[in-house]
Amino acid sequence: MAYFAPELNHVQFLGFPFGFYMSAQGSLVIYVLIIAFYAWRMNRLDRTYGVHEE
Amino acid sequence: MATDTFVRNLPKIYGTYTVGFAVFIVALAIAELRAKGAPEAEVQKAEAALAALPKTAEAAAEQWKKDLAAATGKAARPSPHAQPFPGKDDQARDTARRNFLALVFCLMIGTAALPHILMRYYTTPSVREARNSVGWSLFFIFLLYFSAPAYAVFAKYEVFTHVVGSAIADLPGWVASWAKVGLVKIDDINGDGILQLAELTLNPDVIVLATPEIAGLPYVIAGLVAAGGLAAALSTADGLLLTIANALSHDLYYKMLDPNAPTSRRLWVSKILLLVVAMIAAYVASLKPDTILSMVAWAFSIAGSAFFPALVLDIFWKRATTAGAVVGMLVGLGVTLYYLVNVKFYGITPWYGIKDISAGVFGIPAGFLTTVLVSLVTPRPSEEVQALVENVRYPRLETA
Repeated sequence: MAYFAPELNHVQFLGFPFGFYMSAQGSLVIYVLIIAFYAWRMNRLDRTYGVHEE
Repeated sequence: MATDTFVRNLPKIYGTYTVGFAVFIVALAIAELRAKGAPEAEVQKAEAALAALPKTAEAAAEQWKKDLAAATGKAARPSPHAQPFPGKDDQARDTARRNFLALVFCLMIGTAALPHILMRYYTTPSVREARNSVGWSLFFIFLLYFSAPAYAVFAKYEVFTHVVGSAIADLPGWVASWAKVGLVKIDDINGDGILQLAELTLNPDVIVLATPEIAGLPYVIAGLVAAGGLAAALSTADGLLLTIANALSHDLYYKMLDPNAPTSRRLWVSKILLLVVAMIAAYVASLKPDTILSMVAWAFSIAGSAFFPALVLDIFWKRATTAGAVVGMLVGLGVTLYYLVNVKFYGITPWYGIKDISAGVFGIPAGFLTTVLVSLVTPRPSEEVQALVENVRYPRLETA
């Protein structure tokens, strides 16, 4: 994403250049969502295969 | 021939004369002040000015070069805020991009291997809660970093549109209050009484503290921001100190040197070590080898290259051996430190133009490679150890 920032900046997003916005805020949102999804999904997998604690 | 030497030495000769002259003038002024019976404070001020003058022609030339570089830097057009990897040509932009990616890599791996952060995982009672707590902590970290770029954009906008271009005489109060501590400097270079961008010198660290005031919020907010920064610094520092002191006292002293030590002595040793480590850290910090930002990035690079390969391989690769982990950690640490120290203090040409703050970019792969190679040539870990790894991975499988 950062590598292609100069090209991405030709696109506008919320009034900011897209590449700039993604490195400033956009990618953070995505990362937090990925981690939340990972925690939720792994917890469910653990339950499904009976390796959960408590 | 003689003229030639003379001409070549001209800058030096000229420099010597100028320095001598300047020193002479100031010394004269001090003598005059003394003769006139000027107040002691004034004399001291003049003497301080004398002491601040460069001592030799070389030092003067050095000083002049530094001032020139700083002035040209300030006179240059600022690059647009959203422009990625500013540089004067394609090659400079390319290097900037490579450096950015290398730094991101180092910070990412470094964060995963920071000892005081790893310690925090022991505070959760179960795997499930560890996952959830990571999710929540990252959400709050995200809130902070989500607002930081907005803060930066806002600070720049405010300085460029409202502060620059106003008359120096009626600048808002924050300029005066920060100028008093020497973090903001204004000199009216062209003497028109209006502040231009190049005439404003802001300490990079002060912008965070000054922005609330620049925007017209009460001074209390700046205090809150400073308190927040201090709290973060203290919690990180005590986390790290405890980790280091505990590792040394528990793992090294208790487990290896004196397994029969009574609890009171172990506590005592850990407290003493805490003090010693804190003193060393304070001493290194007082040397100020670079800006805070670079020193933090070094820490990430060093932690990443020393711990990350061993951590990952020992968890996910059962074939990894103790010898492999030890050698890998040493090699990773060694490569990173070698690169960092050489680029920073001895000025060797950086490899691929990578700056010293991203030294881990070489140390981390080196650590992985040596861990794997040494593990492969040393005998496979015993059944017991492999069973332990299995047990750590699936705590319930054995009993089920």
